[in-house]
Amino acid sequence: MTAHPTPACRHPKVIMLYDNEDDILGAASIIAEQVDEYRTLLVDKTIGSQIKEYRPSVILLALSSVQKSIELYTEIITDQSLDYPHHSILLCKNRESGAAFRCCIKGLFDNYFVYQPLYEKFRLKMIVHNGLLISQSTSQYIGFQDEQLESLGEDLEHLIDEGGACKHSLLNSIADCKKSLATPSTKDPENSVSEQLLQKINETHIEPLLAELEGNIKTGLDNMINQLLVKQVGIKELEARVAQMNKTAIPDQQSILEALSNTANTLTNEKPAKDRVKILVVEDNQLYRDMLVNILKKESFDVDEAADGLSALKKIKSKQYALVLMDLFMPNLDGINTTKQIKAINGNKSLPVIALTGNKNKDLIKTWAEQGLKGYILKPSTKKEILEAVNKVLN
Amino acid sequence: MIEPNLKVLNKDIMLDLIGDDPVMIRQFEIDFLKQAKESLQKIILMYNQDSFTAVKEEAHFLKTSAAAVGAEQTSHLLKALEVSGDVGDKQKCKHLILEIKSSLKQVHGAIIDDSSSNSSMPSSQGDNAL
Repeated sequence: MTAHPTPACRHPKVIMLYDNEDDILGAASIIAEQVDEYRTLLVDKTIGSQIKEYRPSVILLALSSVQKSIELYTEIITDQSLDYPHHSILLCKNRESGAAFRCCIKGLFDNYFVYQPLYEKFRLKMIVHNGLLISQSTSQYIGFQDEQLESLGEDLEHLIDEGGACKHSLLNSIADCKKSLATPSTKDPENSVSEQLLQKINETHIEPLLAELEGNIKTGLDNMINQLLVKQVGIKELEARVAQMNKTAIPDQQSILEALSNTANTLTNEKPAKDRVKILVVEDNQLYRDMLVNILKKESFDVDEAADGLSALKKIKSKQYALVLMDLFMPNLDGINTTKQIKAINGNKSLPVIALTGNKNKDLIKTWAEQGLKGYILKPSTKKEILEAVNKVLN
Repeated sequence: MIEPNLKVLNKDIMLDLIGDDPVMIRQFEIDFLKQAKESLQKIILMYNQDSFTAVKEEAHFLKTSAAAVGAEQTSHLLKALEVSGDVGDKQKCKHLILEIKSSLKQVHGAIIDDSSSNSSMPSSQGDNAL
């Protein structure tokens, strides 16, 4: 597979700003598939003038940290490189999603997306799609207070607030300009001519644009609702089957039964969150941990993760898990001692633990087994082997 | 030192592990390169400080992800480094670290195609740093 992060579009509607090419390869190739008028820009001293030149509708900030993205975005607004309505999307690492969420709630960015690791490529496409649709309009939502947000440290919180204020100032100044254009003074003798001109522009340009925009938003919302329905209850599939059956001859009893059976399967595959089996994955290697989490989430398990034994114990104290997958060698507290502590926390009640281990640790696995191991997975294993081990214990 | 049947990057391993999802596989490969770069720098630093237990632990850490992405040769060399680190064999550790660096460059080459290759392997802390 190849990924070219900087397709050279001369008039891009969508741009992605980055400081490390390796970081954006995955996300860049996804957007390149979707949008022709797209370009990635390496952040350097000329970035302001490039943005001024291209005037993109949608800007994705994919710098190596949320803080750097906020600083850059605030800078290009302050120096007026970015002085028009646009849609801003913050790309962040999973561990910084709390900060990214806060940025959006505070109105600094319009949306955010976790691109490291990159799990939901369709969500990224949806965000860019919506950004393109609504980049000419503005809306506000005030639903969260400071005390409801995760604490991030004074400096970063201050930076987000400042950036948010900077963005609001830009939006207010644009709104003021529009207002002054819309209500010219009646004392001016040239007003009647100006009014006529404005009315003409309004009729020939603005109103058709607004009508088109409204149509686009309606279509976008319809698509979103359809996709949600497809994902959640499989109604689209049912509709498609009904349409197909209507087109063909009168169906026989067997095909009706098959259609109903398939639909019933679709409906029962998606379990509500409260009914999902909760699994805790404890592994210090984030890359392997992400792989395991990904495998289990795809099977509709409710998955939580911890990087060492101590963090795992904290989570086990506060939540009820059906199963723990645990590495042997970890910083702070290893797998064997964490298992001992789990027994103590649960008052010897059984919380099944599956060991994640290399094949050379047989003696240690024996010692661990004495603490009540229910199974083990040899690293790295295959998806099939991992799910077999998990399902065997859960069943 | 490297067994002939081991591949630089066995793509089947990740296909079996996470399924046929090219975007996600690509992301994990890139994440591995970044992790390997940091980890190799740590290993070199610990080697220069004669902290062989720490060399062993870091080798074990990186071995997990090398095996998971299918970097079979790298994983094999890291396993050997774990053993050499455990017995404090400095000469062997040095030799293995150089081999691991070389094998990671091959993995990097296999993952990033020529058009977008910006070497991200540590050059400042390479052979001369040992």
